[in-house]
Amino acid sequence: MVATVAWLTILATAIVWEVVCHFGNGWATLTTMALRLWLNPIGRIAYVAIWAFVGWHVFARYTLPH
Amino acid sequence: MVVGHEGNCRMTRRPIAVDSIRGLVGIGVVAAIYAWWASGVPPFTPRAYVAVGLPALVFLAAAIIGPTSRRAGAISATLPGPPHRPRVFPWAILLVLAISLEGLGLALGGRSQAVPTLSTVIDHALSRHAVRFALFCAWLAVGWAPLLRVIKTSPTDQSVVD
Repeated sequence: MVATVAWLTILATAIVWEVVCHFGNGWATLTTMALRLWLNPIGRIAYVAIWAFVGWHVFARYTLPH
Repeated sequence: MVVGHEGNCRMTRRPIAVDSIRGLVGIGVVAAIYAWWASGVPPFTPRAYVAVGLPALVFLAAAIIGPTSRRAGAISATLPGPPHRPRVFPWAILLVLAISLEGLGLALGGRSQAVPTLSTVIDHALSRHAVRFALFCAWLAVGWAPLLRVIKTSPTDQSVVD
């Protein structure tokens, strides 16, 4: 239970921090970091690979809890 | 076709390409329909692998041979240097926390009730189709966002950097 709350806290913090950073306070946003990765040829392949793995793992191989 | 403040009006807003907006709306509608179908496919089936693999293959092709791969070089030249450590410091903390929690969960077997992995937490959310649909849309958006941004950004547009 504590760990689940920790996961939700991490995810919520990431979303809130991303929104805060978009107001231009000098901190890097995930969007900008993703774009920087995308602009590099090798980074682009890595980005696609990570993204595809997440989709495959989450949507094609999830197991409903009993 | 563009709309905006022109003629005797002051140029207070950048022109908005209506065709571009229509294109984005069209892509969004098609993506939503696809996501609704894909999120309803049972896991561990060939259809599930196709549902995930199809957008991934299209995305991979766009990354390798698409027009963005040529435009990326020009946009890259307009970006300032890489962000120094303090600017990404909060993200590094979150990443370390997430990796630590995931590592602990995996060390306990991956299905521990006390310390579940991120996958286990998400699996609970995935038991509802509406949540699966929302997450699939988010997954598509995260993947395609940089590509669409590069397509929409001209090489001299400095607004690409926040």
